[in-house]
Amino acid sequence: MSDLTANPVEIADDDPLAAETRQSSRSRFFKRLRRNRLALAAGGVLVLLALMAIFAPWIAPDDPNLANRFQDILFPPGEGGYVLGTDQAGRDILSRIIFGTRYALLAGIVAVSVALGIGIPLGLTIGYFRGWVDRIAMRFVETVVAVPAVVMAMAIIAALGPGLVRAMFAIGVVYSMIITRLTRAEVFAAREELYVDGARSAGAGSNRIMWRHVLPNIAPALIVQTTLLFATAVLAEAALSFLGLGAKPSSQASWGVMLQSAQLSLDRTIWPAIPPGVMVFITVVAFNVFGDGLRDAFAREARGGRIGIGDVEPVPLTDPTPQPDGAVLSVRNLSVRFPRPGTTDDVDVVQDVSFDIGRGKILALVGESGSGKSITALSLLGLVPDPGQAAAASIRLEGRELVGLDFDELRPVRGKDIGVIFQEPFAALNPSHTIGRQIAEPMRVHLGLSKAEARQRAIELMERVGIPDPTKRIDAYPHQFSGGMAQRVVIAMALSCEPKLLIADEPTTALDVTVQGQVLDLISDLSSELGVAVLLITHDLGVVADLADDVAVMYAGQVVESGRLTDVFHRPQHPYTEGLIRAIPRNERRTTDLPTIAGVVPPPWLWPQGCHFAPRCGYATDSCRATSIELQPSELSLARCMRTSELQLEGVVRDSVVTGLGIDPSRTKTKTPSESGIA
Amino acid sequence: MTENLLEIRDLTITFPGGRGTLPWQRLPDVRAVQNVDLTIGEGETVGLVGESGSGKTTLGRAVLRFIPPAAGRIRLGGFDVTEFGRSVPSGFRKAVQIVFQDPVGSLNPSMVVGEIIGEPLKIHFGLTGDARDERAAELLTQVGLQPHHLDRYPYEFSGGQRQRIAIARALATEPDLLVLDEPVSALDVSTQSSVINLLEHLQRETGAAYLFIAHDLAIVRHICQRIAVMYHSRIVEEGDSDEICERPRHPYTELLLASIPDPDPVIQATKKTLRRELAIGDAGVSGNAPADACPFADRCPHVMDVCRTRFPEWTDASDGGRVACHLHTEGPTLAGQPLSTLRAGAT
Repeated sequence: MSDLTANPVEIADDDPLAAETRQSSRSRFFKRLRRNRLALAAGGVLVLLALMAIFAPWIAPDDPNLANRFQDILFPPGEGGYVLGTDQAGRDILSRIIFGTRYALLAGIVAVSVALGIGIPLGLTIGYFRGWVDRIAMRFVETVVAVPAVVMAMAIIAALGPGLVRAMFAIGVVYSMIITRLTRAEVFAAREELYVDGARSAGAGSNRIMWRHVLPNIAPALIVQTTLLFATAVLAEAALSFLGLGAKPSSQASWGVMLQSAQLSLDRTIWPAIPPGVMVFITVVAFNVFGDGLRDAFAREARGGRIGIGDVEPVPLTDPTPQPDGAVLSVRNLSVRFPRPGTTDDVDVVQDVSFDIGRGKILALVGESGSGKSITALSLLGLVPDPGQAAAASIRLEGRELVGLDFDELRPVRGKDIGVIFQEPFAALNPSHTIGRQIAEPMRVHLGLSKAEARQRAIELMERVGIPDPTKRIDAYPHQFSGGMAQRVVIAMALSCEPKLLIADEPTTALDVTVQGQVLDLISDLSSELGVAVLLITHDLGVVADLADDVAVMYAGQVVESGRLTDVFHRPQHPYTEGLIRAIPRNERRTTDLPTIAGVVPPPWLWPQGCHFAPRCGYATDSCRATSIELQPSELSLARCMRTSELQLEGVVRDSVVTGLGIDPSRTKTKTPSESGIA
Repeated sequence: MTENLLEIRDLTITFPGGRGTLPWQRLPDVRAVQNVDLTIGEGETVGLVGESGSGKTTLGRAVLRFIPPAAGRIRLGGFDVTEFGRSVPSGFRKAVQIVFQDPVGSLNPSMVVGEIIGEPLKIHFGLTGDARDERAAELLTQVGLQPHHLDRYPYEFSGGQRQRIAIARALATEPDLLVLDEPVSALDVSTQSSVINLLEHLQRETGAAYLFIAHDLAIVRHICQRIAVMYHSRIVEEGDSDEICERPRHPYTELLLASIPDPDPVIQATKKTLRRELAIGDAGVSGNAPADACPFADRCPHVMDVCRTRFPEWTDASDGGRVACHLHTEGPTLAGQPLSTLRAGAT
């Protein structure tokens, strides 16, 4: 491998994000668990029970199995020096309760280990291999599970003979079926993961894949189930011992045995039954609450934060550009703040963004992931994910100021005046409702249309967005549509209340390229026909060139360049815009490496004081890093760059690009100096 | 291009159809790949381009023997992939590797990078302990990451970095063929370019051949010497990258080229007009692929009656490319000429 150094590969950034968030998902899991007070308390109870079991001989005041000196006198609680009294055989209830913890936990451990020991390998095997193994095994499992666990256990005990360990072994066998079923279901999902294919391609055998790749990733579900099984095992022990099939009444003071002996003195007092009953109750509840807590902590690990509907905080206006009267949307000094992970400091992930969109105009917000473009759009909808906070000097929609309105005043605006199209059409549609109902719903809520009117309008809308045969397809469900048709449905929904503004967040990224063209054409037609203003969010400069009138390039929370599409793309004024333009692969011959922008967008708390782009910019000087840079006029656009006047940046015009379609674009080949050559 | 490393001959892959409305009804099998021929020479990069549902990913997975074919042959080096039974020889697993599109799902979240890259090293070279870590660190450096990344978990990396880790794992077995299934589609533009550059550098170092599966012709052109265009279970055109992207011979290839938006607003305005002319019928792939027709017939602006009754014969072009389209044999015979000559003749 000595030739490696001879051919150096550009070093991918050791991105600082990783170092900053090294606080692992494991510690985040515990943090969430710590916040769940109830689960924590339940966990405390369980620890206490475990300690009680371990130290029983030292804590218990008496021998749990020996009668007191008065023989079978039943002391009520507090009398004769017995805090909880004695049972009908004169044995100290407190001591028996303490020792009972041992049997309860022993019962749980035996049952659960047997259940896991049988259930996990069996579930892994049948889930992984499927086919006839699975079909036969599952019929057996279903048969066992169909019989109540205690009855099934009694049948097994009949064969094995009674005794605490044997009884719990029997319970474990029954529970192993539950574990088998769960493991199998989890394996079914996990084996479809790509990393399983990756391991297979790496040459890993079936055993290795099952135990090393699948099992660790289904562990959370198993851990939760195990905790819950512990609880039912404690109950089962009590039930079986009560029936005389479990612990030995003479020498093993389990809670079930205590309940049984309490029954013998039921004609005199019910007291001896209460302490073991309470203990069983506490233990079972503690296990269940703790298990639920674990599940919540694991589940949020998978899902991430919730979305909150927040108001936009007013801030002073610093942007000097006057807000045009004719604009559909006019935004000034929009910022979005988030607490920095792991600290109490706040960081601005969007900083002082201002823009205007006129009637029938399309503004594209462009940038890499992490630039803040999507959060900017979400903040207009009041959909900044919790715990973020948006602030702005002004957000005007058709002249109406939205900053300062409260939640109830904003709701009709958001539902009616702003339509949204997201990247994944199927995520935006409810799979269990017909599409007709979903298109009609907002019109009934916001426009107060009757059911029939809304349906009629839904058909018109479907026709307008190019869904063939709308009268028939209105009663179809989302899964009956292709991706492109589903996106048309989403567009129809977004347009249903005649919005003034349409936000399109990567509307074609999930679609095939030939489908993309048709959806772009539709958005473009709708915008010019209906006069809807469109805020287009995308990373694809080709889509921008196809659709947009104006463009705002965002980098690390700031707009770094904005202007008319042709001005910005033909004569970029900011090095980041040039970098994006150069990096896009185009239809041309090439002999050297594809140009790239070194590194990635850093996380917000590492954005520099000076120019945010400076660390990745080939033109940066010390003065770029010294102070923050303002957005200022440069040629025909606005740019946030100190050196813009001295730089000759390369635009999209390149002679080497071909269409491959036998036609060449009619371009007057008079080039200004800034359009030629490579900077 | 010396000897062929991978030879796919007349490959057909079907999936069992689902059940009908009545429990005993079986729907006909779904034809995912039909009569596909494809070869890759040693150290060559071949692009397989098509939309979702075209069968390109299925074809890639069949090369790794993740899916058994219904008919036809796949040979790779000395192995006849179609002859394998339930178990696959470990020499074959060593010879071919795969990198997936999804950089999040393709790395086991519960393993550190050292374990992920170390796994094939242990399986195929018996490396353990320090020797394994050393080799894994070497591979990491090779893909532009650093040795101290070995004890980190996948979630600590950005998408581009994860894709580099997946590439390092694939290279660990020193494979002869790397199947790259949309390896850059989920990445940002500038990250895309750096991963493409990396793949090119690595190919020069290791001499591995690539089967590069993607939907974006513009990207494929930049890494492949040859391109095969797939539509709805069939390869419809194949040839030199530059020829395909500059002088397409199949109407579908032309539609694909017209559909990729260019960032130059002037070029794009022209392409947009042409795209609107070319795009007819329902975009996208739907339904079962026809067995005896051109699968593109319903969307083709040049469609003739014969297109609906027979899949066209292959026409060879002088530059080594080939195309399966009736336009080249019937009607206004193109006989291997690019489609644009049709338009030039009309005006």
